[in-house]
Amino acid sequence: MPIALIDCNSFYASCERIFRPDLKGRPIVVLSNNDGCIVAMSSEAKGLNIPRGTPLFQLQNLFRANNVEVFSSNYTLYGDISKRVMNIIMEATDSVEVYSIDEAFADWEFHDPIDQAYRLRKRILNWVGMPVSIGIAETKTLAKIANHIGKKNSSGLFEITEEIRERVLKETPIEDVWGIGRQTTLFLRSRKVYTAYDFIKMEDWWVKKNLTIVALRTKWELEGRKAIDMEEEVKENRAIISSKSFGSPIEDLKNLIEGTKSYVHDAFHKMVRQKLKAKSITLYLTTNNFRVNDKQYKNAITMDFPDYTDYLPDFVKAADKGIRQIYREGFKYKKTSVMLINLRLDREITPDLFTLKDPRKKQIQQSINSINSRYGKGTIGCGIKKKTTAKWHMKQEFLSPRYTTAWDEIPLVK
Amino acid sequence: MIPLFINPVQAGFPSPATDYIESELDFNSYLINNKPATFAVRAQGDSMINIGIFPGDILITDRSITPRSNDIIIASLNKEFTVKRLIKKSSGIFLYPENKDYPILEINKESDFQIWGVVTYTIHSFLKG
Repeated sequence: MPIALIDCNSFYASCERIFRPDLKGRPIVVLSNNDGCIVAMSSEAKGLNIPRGTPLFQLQNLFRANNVEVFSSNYTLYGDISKRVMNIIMEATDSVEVYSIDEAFADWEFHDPIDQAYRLRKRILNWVGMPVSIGIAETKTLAKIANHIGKKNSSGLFEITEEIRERVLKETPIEDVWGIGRQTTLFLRSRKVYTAYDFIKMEDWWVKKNLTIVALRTKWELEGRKAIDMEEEVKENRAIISSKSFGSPIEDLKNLIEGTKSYVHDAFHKMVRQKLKAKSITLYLTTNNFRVNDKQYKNAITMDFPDYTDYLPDFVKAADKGIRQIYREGFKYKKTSVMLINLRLDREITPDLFTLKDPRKKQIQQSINSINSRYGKGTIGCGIKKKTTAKWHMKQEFLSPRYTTAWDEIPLVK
Repeated sequence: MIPLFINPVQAGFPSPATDYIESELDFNSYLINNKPATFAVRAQGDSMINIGIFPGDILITDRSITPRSNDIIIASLNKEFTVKRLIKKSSGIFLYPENKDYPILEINKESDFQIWGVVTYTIHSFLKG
Protein backbone atom coordinates (compact mmCIF):
# COMPACT_ATOMS: atom_id res chain seq x y z
CA MET A 1 0.00 0.00 0.00
CA PRO A 2 1.75 3.17 -1.16
CA ILE A 3 2.13 6.19 1.07
CA ALA A 4 2.02 9.85 0.10
CA LEU A 5 3.79 12.63 1.92
CA ILE A 6 2.01 15.90 1.35
CA ASP A 7 3.94 18.93 2.48
CA CYS A 8 3.36 22.65 2.10
CA ASN A 9 5.93 24.76 0.27
CA SER A 10 7.49 27.45 2.51
CA PHE A 11 4.50 27.09 4.79
CA TYR A 12 4.71 30.20 6.99
CA ALA A 13 5.64 32.47 4.11
CA SER A 14 2.90 30.97 1.96
CA CYS A 15 0.33 31.57 4.70
CA GLU A 16 1.27 35.24 4.76
CA ARG A 17 0.83 35.43 1.00
CA ILE A 18 -2.76 34.15 0.91
CA PHE A 19 -4.17 37.46 2.11
CA ARG A 20 -1.55 39.73 0.59
CA PRO A 21 -1.77 39.77 -3.21
CA ASP A 22 0.93 42.43 -3.17
CA LEU A 23 3.46 39.90 -1.87
CA LYS A 24 3.45 37.66 -4.92
CA GLY A 25 7.03 37.16 -6.08
CA ARG A 26 8.51 39.18 -3.22
CA PRO A 27 10.97 37.61 -0.78
CA ILE A 28 9.38 36.91 2.59
CA VAL A 29 11.14 36.16 5.86
CA VAL A 30 9.37 34.99 9.03
CA LEU A 31 10.89 35.52 12.46
CA SER A 32 10.40 33.60 15.63
CA ASN A 33 8.80 35.99 18.10
CA ASN A 34 10.89 34.91 21.00
CA ASP A 35 14.47 35.07 19.95
CA GLY A 36 14.48 36.94 16.70
CA CYS A 37 15.78 34.11 14.57
CA ILE A 38 14.63 33.58 11.02
CA VAL A 39 12.38 30.53 11.13
CA ALA A 40 11.05 30.51 7.59
CA MET A 41 11.76 31.97 4.19
CA SER A 42 10.01 32.06 0.86
CA SER A 43 11.93 30.61 -2.08
CA GLU A 44 12.91 34.11 -3.25
CA ALA A 45 14.35 34.87 0.19
CA LYS A 46 16.26 31.57 0.18
CA GLY A 47 17.75 32.74 -3.07
CA LEU A 48 19.36 35.67 -1.24
CA ASN A 49 21.70 33.21 0.49
CA ILE A 50 21.55 34.81 3.90
CA PRO A 51 24.33 33.24 5.98
CA ARG A 52 22.96 31.27 8.90
CA GLY A 53 23.17 32.96 12.30
CA THR A 54 23.58 36.45 10.91
CA PRO A 55 22.29 38.83 13.57
CA LEU A 56 19.04 40.37 12.41
CA PHE A 57 20.07 43.98 12.85
CA GLN A 58 22.78 43.35 10.26
CA LEU A 59 20.19 42.20 7.77
CA GLN A 60 18.12 45.39 7.72
CA ASN A 61 20.00 46.83 4.75
CA LEU A 62 19.91 43.59 2.83
CA PHE A 63 16.18 43.35 3.39
CA ARG A 64 15.56 46.90 2.29
CA ALA A 65 17.69 46.51 -0.79
CA ASN A 66 15.85 43.36 -1.84
CA ASN A 67 12.34 44.46 -0.95
CA VAL A 68 12.04 41.70 1.64
CA GLU A 69 8.89 41.62 3.73
CA VAL A 70 9.50 40.58 7.34
CA PHE A 71 6.90 38.92 9.57
CA SER A 72 6.73 37.73 13.15
CA SER A 73 5.36 34.23 13.48
CA ASN A 74 1.58 34.32 13.43
CA TYR A 75 0.84 30.90 14.91
CA THR A 76 -2.87 31.59 15.15
CA LEU A 77 -3.02 32.07 11.41
CA TYR A 78 -0.68 29.20 10.60
CA GLY A 79 -2.62 26.84 12.82
CA ASP A 80 -5.90 27.70 11.13
CA ILE A 81 -4.51 27.35 7.62
CA SER A 82 -2.94 24.05 8.60
CA LYS A 83 -6.29 22.78 9.87
CA ARG A 84 -7.89 23.60 6.52
CA VAL A 85 -5.17 21.86 4.53
CA MET A 86 -5.34 18.76 6.71
CA ASN A 87 -9.14 18.63 6.46
CA ILE A 88 -8.94 18.69 2.68
CA ILE A 89 -6.40 15.86 2.73
CA MET A 90 -8.61 13.84 5.08
CA GLU A 91 -11.53 14.19 2.70
CA ALA A 92 -9.41 12.90 -0.16
CA THR A 93 -8.09 9.74 1.43
CA ASP A 94 -8.28 7.50 4.49
CA SER A 95 -5.66 7.08 7.11
CA VAL A 96 -4.03 10.47 7.31
CA GLU A 97 -1.28 11.05 9.83
CA VAL A 98 -0.70 14.72 10.52
CA TYR A 99 3.04 14.73 11.06
CA SER A 100 3.59 18.43 11.68
CA ILE A 101 1.90 21.75 11.09
CA ASP A 102 2.58 21.53 7.37
CA GLU A 103 3.13 17.84 6.59
CA ALA A 104 0.94 14.80 6.48
CA PHE A 105 1.40 11.17 5.52
CA ALA A 106 -1.54 9.46 3.90
CA ASP A 107 -2.39 6.05 2.52
CA TRP A 108 -2.33 6.41 -1.25
CA GLU A 109 -3.92 3.31 -2.72
CA PHE A 110 -5.25 4.48 -6.09
CA HIS A 111 -4.99 2.96 -9.56
CA ASP A 112 -3.82 6.38 -10.77
CA PRO A 113 -1.70 7.71 -7.89
CA ILE A 114 -0.07 10.58 -9.76
CA ASP A 115 -3.37 11.82 -11.14
CA GLN A 116 -4.93 11.75 -7.69
CA ALA A 117 -1.93 13.61 -6.31
CA TYR A 118 -2.27 16.19 -9.06
CA ARG A 119 -5.95 16.70 -8.18
CA LEU A 120 -5.25 17.05 -4.46
CA ARG A 121 -2.47 19.53 -5.08
CA LYS A 122 -4.72 21.61 -7.32
CA ARG A 123 -7.56 21.45 -4.83
CA ILE A 124 -5.45 22.65 -1.89
CA LEU A 125 -4.09 25.47 -4.03
CA ASN A 126 -7.58 26.53 -5.15
CA TRP A 127 -9.40 26.11 -1.89
CA VAL A 128 -6.80 27.54 0.49
CA GLY A 129 -4.17 29.20 -1.68
CA MET A 130 -1.47 26.89 -0.32
CA PRO A 131 1.04 25.31 -2.71
CA VAL A 132 2.05 21.78 -1.72
CA SER A 133 4.40 19.08 -2.95
CA ILE A 134 3.46 15.42 -2.93
CA GLY A 135 5.81 12.43 -2.88
CA ILE A 136 4.52 8.88 -3.29
CA ALA A 137 6.34 5.65 -2.44
CA GLU A 138 6.02 2.35 -0.57
CA THR A 139 7.40 3.66 2.73
CA LYS A 140 7.48 6.92 4.66
CA THR A 141 11.22 7.31 4.29
CA LEU A 142 10.99 6.84 0.53
CA ALA A 143 7.97 9.16 0.36
CA LYS A 144 10.10 11.84 2.03
CA ILE A 145 12.70 11.46 -0.71
CA ALA A 146 9.99 11.47 -3.38
CA ASN A 147 8.56 14.65 -1.88
CA HIS A 148 11.98 16.29 -1.93
CA ILE A 149 12.29 15.49 -5.64
CA GLY A 150 8.72 16.56 -6.33
CA LYS A 151 9.33 19.92 -4.74
CA LYS A 152 11.90 20.67 -7.42
CA ASN A 153 9.61 19.49 -10.24
CA SER A 154 7.38 21.84 -12.14
CA SER A 155 4.44 19.57 -11.27
CA GLY A 156 5.26 19.46 -7.56
CA LEU A 157 4.77 15.68 -7.61
CA PHE A 158 6.94 12.58 -7.75
CA GLU A 159 6.44 8.85 -7.34
CA ILE A 160 9.19 6.37 -6.51
CA THR A 161 8.12 3.08 -8.05
CA GLU A 162 10.02 -0.14 -7.48
CA GLU A 163 11.41 0.11 -11.01
CA ILE A 164 13.21 3.38 -10.35
CA ARG A 165 13.87 3.03 -6.63
CA GLU A 166 17.51 2.01 -6.86
CA ARG A 167 18.30 4.71 -9.40
CA VAL A 168 16.75 7.34 -7.14
CA LEU A 169 18.71 6.06 -4.14
CA LYS A 170 21.93 6.30 -6.11
CA GLU A 171 21.18 9.98 -6.63
CA THR A 172 20.21 10.65 -3.00
CA PRO A 173 23.04 11.79 -0.72
CA ILE A 174 22.98 9.91 2.59
CA GLU A 175 22.56 13.12 4.61
CA ASP A 176 19.25 13.79 2.84
CA VAL A 177 17.73 10.60 4.20
CA TRP A 178 15.13 11.08 6.92
CA GLY A 179 16.42 9.55 10.13
CA ILE A 180 20.10 9.85 9.31
CA GLY A 181 21.56 12.55 11.52
CA ARG A 182 24.71 14.56 11.15
CA GLN A 183 26.95 12.31 13.19
CA THR A 184 25.67 9.18 11.49
CA THR A 185 26.39 10.83 8.16
CA LEU A 186 29.97 11.59 9.19
CA PHE A 187 30.47 8.01 10.31
CA LEU A 188 28.99 6.56 7.13
CA ARG A 189 31.03 8.81 4.90
CA SER A 190 34.16 7.69 6.73
CA ARG A 191 33.15 4.16 5.67
CA LYS A 192 32.68 5.30 2.06
CA VAL A 193 28.89 5.32 2.27
CA TYR A 194 27.90 8.47 0.38
CA THR A 195 24.48 7.78 -1.05
CA ALA A 196 21.29 6.10 0.11
CA TYR A 197 22.13 3.30 -2.34
CA ASP A 198 25.57 2.75 -0.76
CA PHE A 199 23.76 2.52 2.58
CA ILE A 200 21.32 -0.19 1.57
CA LYS A 201 24.21 -2.21 0.09
CA MET A 202 25.60 -2.67 3.63
CA GLU A 203 24.53 -5.75 5.55
CA ASP A 204 21.82 -5.51 8.20
CA TRP A 205 24.14 -6.89 10.90
CA TRP A 206 26.73 -4.25 10.09
CA VAL A 207 24.21 -1.43 10.44
CA LYS A 208 22.86 -2.91 13.66
CA LYS A 209 26.38 -3.34 15.05
CA ASN A 210 27.76 0.10 14.14
CA LEU A 211 24.68 2.30 14.28
CA THR A 212 21.27 2.13 15.93
CA ILE A 213 17.99 0.32 15.49
CA VAL A 214 16.61 3.55 14.06
CA ALA A 215 19.24 3.45 11.31
CA LEU A 216 18.37 -0.17 10.60
CA ARG A 217 14.68 0.65 10.27
CA THR A 218 15.64 3.47 7.94
CA LYS A 219 17.57 0.99 5.82
CA TRP A 220 14.55 -1.30 5.60
CA GLU A 221 12.36 1.61 4.64
CA LEU A 222 14.76 2.55 1.86
CA GLU A 223 14.51 -1.02 0.66
CA GLY A 224 10.76 -0.63 0.34
CA ARG A 225 9.87 -2.40 3.55
CA LYS A 226 7.66 -0.49 6.02
CA ALA A 227 9.42 -0.29 9.38
CA ILE A 228 8.54 3.00 10.98
CA ASP A 229 4.86 2.88 11.93
CA MET A 230 5.39 0.44 14.76
CA GLU A 231 7.88 2.72 16.46
CA GLU A 232 5.86 5.93 16.07
CA GLU A 233 2.73 4.40 17.53
CA VAL A 234 4.37 3.24 20.73
CA LYS A 235 5.89 6.62 21.43
CA GLU A 236 2.65 8.57 20.86
CA ASN A 237 0.92 6.96 23.84
CA ARG A 238 3.35 8.14 26.45
CA ALA A 239 3.06 11.18 28.64
CA ILE A 240 5.70 12.91 30.69
CA ILE A 241 4.55 14.05 34.08
CA SER A 242 6.04 16.34 36.65
CA SER A 243 3.92 16.71 39.71
CA LYS A 244 4.70 17.60 43.31
CA SER A 245 2.92 18.86 46.35
CA PHE A 246 4.00 22.18 47.71
CA GLY A 247 5.71 22.29 51.12
CA SER A 248 2.97 24.55 52.38
CA PRO A 249 -0.18 25.42 50.45
CA ILE A 250 0.00 28.33 48.02
CA GLU A 251 -2.78 30.88 47.61
CA ASP A 252 -1.06 33.52 45.55
CA LEU A 253 -1.16 33.26 41.75
CA LYS A 254 2.36 34.53 41.22
CA ASN A 255 3.87 31.94 43.54
CA LEU A 256 1.70 29.25 42.03
CA ILE A 257 3.01 30.07 38.57
CA GLU A 258 6.61 30.15 39.76
CA GLY A 259 6.22 26.76 41.38
CA THR A 260 4.60 25.30 38.30
CA LYS A 261 7.35 26.65 36.08
CA SER A 262 9.93 24.53 37.83
CA TYR A 263 7.80 21.45 37.17
CA VAL A 264 7.65 22.52 33.54
CA HIS A 265 11.43 22.61 33.47
CA ASP A 266 11.58 19.12 34.96
CA ALA A 267 9.13 17.64 32.52
CA PHE A 268 10.79 19.47 29.66
CA HIS A 269 14.21 18.09 30.46
CA LYS A 270 12.85 14.57 30.80
CA MET A 271 11.29 14.98 27.38
CA VAL A 272 14.33 16.39 25.68
CA ARG A 273 16.58 13.71 27.14
CA GLN A 274 14.49 11.18 25.23
CA LYS A 275 14.76 13.19 22.03
CA LEU A 276 11.04 13.81 22.06
CA LYS A 277 8.90 16.75 21.13
CA ALA A 278 5.44 17.53 22.44
CA LYS A 279 2.36 19.01 20.88
CA SER A 280 0.36 19.61 24.04
CA ILE A 281 0.80 20.46 27.71
CA THR A 282 -1.76 19.81 30.42
CA LEU A 283 -1.75 21.86 33.62
CA TYR A 284 -3.55 20.66 36.69
CA LEU A 285 -4.06 22.23 40.09
CA THR A 286 -5.81 21.14 43.22
CA THR A 287 -6.46 21.99 46.82
CA ASN A 288 -5.90 19.48 49.60
CA ASN A 289 -8.71 16.90 49.64
CA PHE A 290 -7.90 15.83 53.13
CA ARG A 291 -8.40 19.20 54.74
CA VAL A 292 -12.17 18.92 54.84
CA ASN A 293 -12.61 22.35 56.36
CA ASP A 294 -10.92 24.05 53.45
CA LYS A 295 -12.81 25.08 50.32
CA GLN A 296 -12.06 22.56 47.60
CA TYR A 297 -11.23 23.28 43.99
CA LYS A 298 -9.46 21.41 41.26
CA ASN A 299 -9.18 22.04 37.58
CA ALA A 300 -7.09 21.23 34.55
CA ILE A 301 -6.48 22.70 31.14
CA THR A 302 -4.72 21.44 28.04
CA MET A 303 -2.89 23.83 25.77
CA ASP A 304 -2.04 22.73 22.25
CA PHE A 305 0.88 24.01 20.24
CA PRO A 306 0.46 24.51 16.51
CA ASP A 307 3.37 22.14 15.92
CA TYR A 308 5.50 19.65 17.84
CA THR A 309 8.08 21.60 19.79
CA ASP A 310 11.09 21.19 22.05
CA TYR A 311 11.60 24.87 22.69
CA LEU A 312 11.45 25.52 26.42
CA PRO A 313 9.93 29.03 26.31
CA ASP A 314 6.90 27.62 24.45
CA PHE A 315 6.12 25.37 27.41
CA VAL A 316 6.78 28.02 30.04
CA LYS A 317 4.56 30.51 28.26
CA ALA A 318 1.77 27.96 27.87
CA ALA A 319 2.00 26.99 31.54
CA ASP A 320 1.75 30.62 32.59
CA LYS A 321 -1.28 31.16 30.40
CA GLY A 322 -2.92 27.91 31.42
CA ILE A 323 -2.50 28.39 35.18
CA ARG A 324 -3.85 31.92 34.91
CA GLN A 325 -6.93 30.59 33.22
CA ILE A 326 -7.81 27.93 35.75
CA TYR A 327 -6.65 29.75 38.89
CA ARG A 328 -9.36 30.94 41.25
CA GLU A 329 -8.72 33.29 44.15
CA GLY A 330 -9.40 32.25 47.70
CA PHE A 331 -8.21 28.66 47.55
CA LYS A 332 -5.20 27.04 49.20
CA TYR A 333 -3.54 25.03 46.47
CA LYS A 334 -1.70 21.91 47.52
CA LYS A 335 -0.29 20.74 44.24
CA THR A 336 0.08 21.50 40.58
CA SER A 337 0.99 19.01 37.86
CA VAL A 338 2.46 19.39 34.44
CA MET A 339 1.89 16.74 31.82
CA LEU A 340 3.45 16.78 28.35
CA ILE A 341 1.36 14.78 25.92
CA ASN A 342 1.11 14.06 22.22
CA LEU A 343 4.78 13.20 22.16
CA ARG A 344 6.74 12.22 19.17
CA LEU A 345 10.25 11.05 18.59
CA ASP A 346 12.00 13.58 16.45
CA ARG A 347 13.39 11.63 13.56
CA GLU A 348 15.48 14.58 12.59
CA ILE A 349 17.46 14.10 15.78
CA THR A 350 17.79 10.33 15.96
CA PRO A 351 19.24 8.88 19.18
CA ASP A 352 22.73 8.80 17.81
CA LEU A 353 25.48 6.96 19.61
CA PHE A 354 27.78 9.67 18.39
CA THR A 355 25.95 12.83 19.47
CA LEU A 356 25.59 11.46 23.00
CA LYS A 357 29.37 11.48 23.27
CA ASP A 358 29.49 15.29 23.25
CA PRO A 359 28.04 16.33 26.61
CA ARG A 360 29.23 19.91 26.24
CA LYS A 361 26.66 20.61 23.52
CA LYS A 362 23.85 19.46 25.74
CA GLN A 363 25.22 21.49 28.67
CA ILE A 364 25.23 24.61 26.57
CA GLN A 365 21.64 24.14 25.50
CA GLN A 366 20.61 23.54 29.08
CA SER A 367 22.42 26.66 30.26
CA ILE A 368 20.86 28.71 27.53
CA ASN A 369 17.44 27.42 28.45
CA SER A 370 17.91 28.20 32.16
CA ILE A 371 19.34 31.66 31.61
CA ASN A 372 16.63 32.53 29.16
CA SER A 373 13.85 31.41 31.41
CA ARG A 374 15.32 33.28 34.37
CA TYR A 375 16.22 36.57 32.73
CA GLY A 376 13.67 36.68 30.00
CA LYS A 377 13.26 35.03 26.65
CA GLY A 378 15.78 36.03 24.08
CA THR A 379 18.50 36.89 26.61
CA ILE A 380 20.55 34.36 24.77
CA GLY A 381 19.24 33.63 21.34
CA CYS A 382 20.47 32.83 17.89
CA GLY A 383 23.18 35.44 17.70
CA ILE A 384 21.10 38.53 18.45
CA LYS A 385 21.47 40.92 21.37
CA LYS A 386 18.06 41.79 22.70
CA LYS A 387 18.47 45.54 23.00
CA THR A 388 20.18 46.22 19.71
CA THR A 389 17.91 48.75 18.10
CA ALA A 390 14.45 49.75 19.25
CA LYS A 391 12.97 48.62 15.96
CA TRP A 392 14.18 45.06 16.22
CA HIS A 393 13.41 44.81 19.90
CA MET A 394 9.63 44.99 19.37
CA LYS A 395 8.96 41.81 17.44
CA GLN A 396 5.20 42.38 17.54
CA GLU A 397 5.72 45.08 14.93
CA PHE A 398 5.85 42.44 12.25
CA LEU A 399 2.82 40.39 13.23
CA SER A 400 0.20 40.03 10.51
CA PRO A 401 -3.52 40.09 11.29
CA ARG A 402 -5.34 36.95 12.37
CA TYR A 403 -7.17 36.95 9.07
CA THR A 404 -9.20 33.83 9.68
CA THR A 405 -9.88 33.80 13.41
CA ALA A 406 -10.56 37.34 14.58
CA TRP A 407 -13.51 39.36 13.28
CA ASP A 408 -11.64 42.61 13.71
CA GLU A 409 -8.78 41.35 11.62
CA ILE A 410 -10.42 39.75 8.57
CA PRO A 411 -9.16 40.94 5.17
CA LEU A 412 -10.61 44.14 3.71
CA VAL A 413 -11.90 44.32 0.15
CA LYS A 414 -12.92 47.32 -1.91
CA MET B 1 -27.85 28.50 18.33
CA ILE B 2 -31.59 29.11 18.64
CA PRO B 3 -33.80 26.22 19.68
CA LEU B 4 -36.84 25.82 17.51
CA PHE B 5 -39.07 24.30 20.14
CA ILE B 6 -39.45 24.69 23.82
CA ASN B 7 -40.81 21.45 25.18
CA PRO B 8 -44.57 22.12 25.59
CA VAL B 9 -44.80 19.61 28.46
CA GLN B 10 -43.31 22.31 30.67
CA ALA B 11 -46.46 24.34 30.08
CA GLY B 12 -48.38 21.58 31.81
CA PHE B 13 -50.09 19.74 29.00
CA PRO B 14 -49.08 16.89 26.72
CA SER B 15 -48.58 17.52 23.03
CA PRO B 16 -48.27 15.35 19.99
CA ALA B 17 -45.16 17.34 19.14
CA THR B 18 -43.37 16.32 22.34
CA ASP B 19 -41.40 13.55 20.78
CA TYR B 20 -40.64 15.45 17.63
CA ILE B 21 -38.19 18.18 18.52
CA GLU B 22 -36.63 19.95 15.59
CA SER B 23 -32.91 20.38 15.64
CA GLU B 24 -31.64 23.83 16.41
CA LEU B 25 -30.96 26.35 13.67
CA ASP B 26 -27.32 25.92 12.86
CA PHE B 27 -26.10 29.12 11.29
CA ASN B 28 -22.68 27.69 10.57
CA SER B 29 -23.97 24.86 8.43
CA TYR B 30 -26.39 27.19 6.66
CA LEU B 31 -23.80 29.75 5.73
CA ILE B 32 -20.81 27.49 5.22
CA ASN B 33 -20.98 24.82 2.58
CA ASN B 34 -17.30 23.89 2.41
CA LYS B 35 -15.52 24.75 5.63
CA PRO B 36 -11.85 24.48 4.63
CA ALA B 37 -12.46 26.69 1.60
CA THR B 38 -14.64 29.33 3.27
CA PHE B 39 -13.32 32.66 4.46
CA ALA B 40 -14.81 35.90 5.72
CA VAL B 41 -13.78 39.29 4.36
CA ARG B 42 -15.04 42.76 5.14
CA ALA B 43 -16.35 45.21 2.55
CA GLN B 44 -15.02 48.75 2.40
CA GLY B 45 -16.36 51.47 0.19
CA ASP B 46 -19.65 51.56 -1.68
CA SER B 47 -18.84 50.16 -5.12
CA MET B 48 -21.43 47.40 -4.69
CA ILE B 49 -24.12 49.27 -2.86
CA ASN B 50 -26.87 48.62 -5.40
CA ILE B 51 -27.00 44.94 -4.57
CA GLY B 52 -26.84 45.57 -0.86
CA ILE B 53 -23.17 45.34 -0.01
CA PHE B 54 -22.45 48.19 2.37
CA PRO B 55 -19.21 49.30 3.98
CA GLY B 56 -18.48 47.12 7.00
CA ASP B 57 -20.53 44.16 5.80
CA ILE B 58 -19.03 40.70 6.12
CA LEU B 59 -18.81 38.74 2.89
CA ILE B 60 -18.73 34.98 3.17
CA THR B 61 -16.42 33.78 0.44
CA ASP B 62 -16.02 30.27 -0.91
CA ARG B 63 -12.83 29.51 -2.79
CA SER B 64 -14.01 26.13 -4.01
CA ILE B 65 -16.85 27.40 -6.19
CA THR B 66 -15.99 27.67 -9.88
CA PRO B 67 -16.79 31.28 -10.73
CA ARG B 68 -19.41 31.82 -13.41
CA SER B 69 -20.53 34.94 -15.14
CA ASN B 70 -22.77 37.03 -12.91
CA ASP B 71 -21.23 35.75 -9.67
CA ILE B 72 -20.07 38.24 -7.08
CA ILE B 73 -16.39 37.56 -6.64
CA ILE B 74 -13.45 38.60 -4.53
CA ALA B 75 -10.44 39.14 -6.76
CA SER B 76 -6.98 40.52 -6.47
CA LEU B 77 -6.51 43.29 -8.99
CA ASN B 78 -3.29 45.27 -9.17
CA LYS B 79 -2.18 43.80 -5.84
CA GLU B 80 -5.35 44.73 -3.97
CA PHE B 81 -8.53 42.86 -3.10
CA THR B 82 -11.73 43.98 -4.69
CA VAL B 83 -15.35 42.80 -4.69
CA LYS B 84 -17.18 43.04 -7.99
CA ARG B 85 -19.59 41.20 -10.24
CA LEU B 86 -17.84 38.94 -12.71
CA ILE B 87 -19.13 39.23 -16.26
CA LYS B 88 -17.84 36.95 -18.99
CA LYS B 89 -18.70 38.00 -22.52
CA SER B 90 -17.48 36.80 -25.86
CA SER B 91 -15.52 40.04 -26.02
CA GLY B 92 -13.74 39.35 -22.76
CA ILE B 93 -13.89 39.40 -18.98
CA PHE B 94 -15.18 42.37 -17.04
CA LEU B 95 -15.62 43.43 -13.45
CA TYR B 96 -18.85 45.33 -12.92
CA PRO B 97 -19.46 47.56 -9.94
CA GLU B 98 -22.94 48.00 -8.52
CA ASN B 99 -22.83 51.75 -8.25
CA LYS B 100 -23.01 54.14 -11.19
CA ASP B 101 -20.17 56.21 -9.71
CA TYR B 102 -17.67 53.42 -10.34
CA PRO B 103 -16.18 52.27 -13.67
CA ILE B 104 -16.53 48.91 -15.36
CA LEU B 105 -13.12 47.27 -15.39
CA GLU B 106 -11.90 45.23 -18.32
CA ILE B 107 -9.55 42.32 -17.67
CA ASN B 108 -7.04 41.33 -20.32
CA LYS B 109 -3.87 39.23 -20.56
CA GLU B 110 -1.70 42.00 -19.14
CA SER B 111 -3.96 42.58 -16.16
CA ASP B 112 -2.57 41.71 -12.76
CA PHE B 113 -5.73 39.77 -11.92
CA GLN B 114 -6.67 36.60 -10.07
CA ILE B 115 -10.00 35.39 -8.76
CA TRP B 116 -9.77 34.76 -5.03
CA GLY B 117 -13.24 33.38 -4.25
CA VAL B 118 -16.98 33.60 -4.85
CA VAL B 119 -19.18 35.55 -2.43
CA THR B 120 -22.05 33.41 -1.19
CA TYR B 121 -23.69 35.49 1.55
CA THR B 122 -23.29 38.89 3.13
CA ILE B 123 -23.90 39.72 6.75
CA HIS B 124 -25.23 43.20 7.24
CA SER B 125 -25.97 44.61 10.67
CA PHE B 126 -28.85 47.05 11.18
CA LEU B 127 -27.86 47.84 14.71
CA LYS B 128 -24.45 49.40 14.42
CA GLY B 129 -25.58 52.33 12.32
